[in-house]
Amino acid sequence: MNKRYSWDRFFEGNKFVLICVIFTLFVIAESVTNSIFDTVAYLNFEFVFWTIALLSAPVFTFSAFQRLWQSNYIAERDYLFWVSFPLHYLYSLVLIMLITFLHGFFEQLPQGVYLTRFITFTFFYVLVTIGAIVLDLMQTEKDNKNLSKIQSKLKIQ
Amino acid sequence: MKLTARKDIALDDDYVDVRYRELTPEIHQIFQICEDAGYILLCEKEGAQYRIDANDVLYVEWVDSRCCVYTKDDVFIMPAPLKQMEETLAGRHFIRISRNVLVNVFKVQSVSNGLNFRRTAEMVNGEKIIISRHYRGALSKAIEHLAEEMS
Repeated sequence: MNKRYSWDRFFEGNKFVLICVIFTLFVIAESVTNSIFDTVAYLNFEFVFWTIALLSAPVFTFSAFQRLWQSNYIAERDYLFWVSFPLHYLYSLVLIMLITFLHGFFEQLPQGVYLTRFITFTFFYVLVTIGAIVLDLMQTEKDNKNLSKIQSKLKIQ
Repeated sequence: MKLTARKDIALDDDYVDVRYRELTPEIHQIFQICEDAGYILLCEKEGAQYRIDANDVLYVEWVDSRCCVYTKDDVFIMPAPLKQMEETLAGRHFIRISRNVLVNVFKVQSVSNGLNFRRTAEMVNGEKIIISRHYRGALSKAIEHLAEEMS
């Protein structure tokens, strides 16, 4: 079977999208039934919420986000970074606000929860983004060291 | 195994003469090295055919349903799919860096990140080629592997 259409490839490319979809479904289901994690519902929700949000942020930005939108146009252009980052940020923020809104239907949320989540998300988003950029620069540095090794060996030969 | 090497500036072309009693794996390996060392690509340019040594190729680009073969200061056409070129050149340190470009790792001078966080590879002739994010990891691994192999 052509790997292009296999399930392996689907999961390989979309696993983070899948995680986020499962997470969203979980949150909705958890909010609807409200009895699965009755006593620690809110704590549990917060923990899962931020873990997934932080894990998915850089990955969404760099690969799954492009796949999600099937936008090769954005991927092949120079403004990739400056377009995809704000778009992803807005996308994630809307998703978070939507989940919070849905959550509010089934449970009494603390006052100012929207603002708190906006600030927390923005803070972690910037942190994760800076981390991703630093890792990227470190990899470039390592590649250049290896390339100079190769070039110097070639000159000797 | 005895090894004889003679420098002869009168020769038109380099050649290797292998004499063996039996075709052992070691002898076969020598054949393989010799074949790999001078892998020739049959290219075209303005209706004429050219034999281009793969080691002289900087990168191969898929443009208008054909492969453009770039050397230090020339461009040739090769009427073959990029996939086929990728398979043919895989053992010769060529690696894909974007959907339509194969690059010779030996000819990459450096890599850099732009302001837009697009990574580019600077070739030995100063040309810059964009590296797709999707292929970054593979290129880094190939560079690391080659550096280890050569040290």
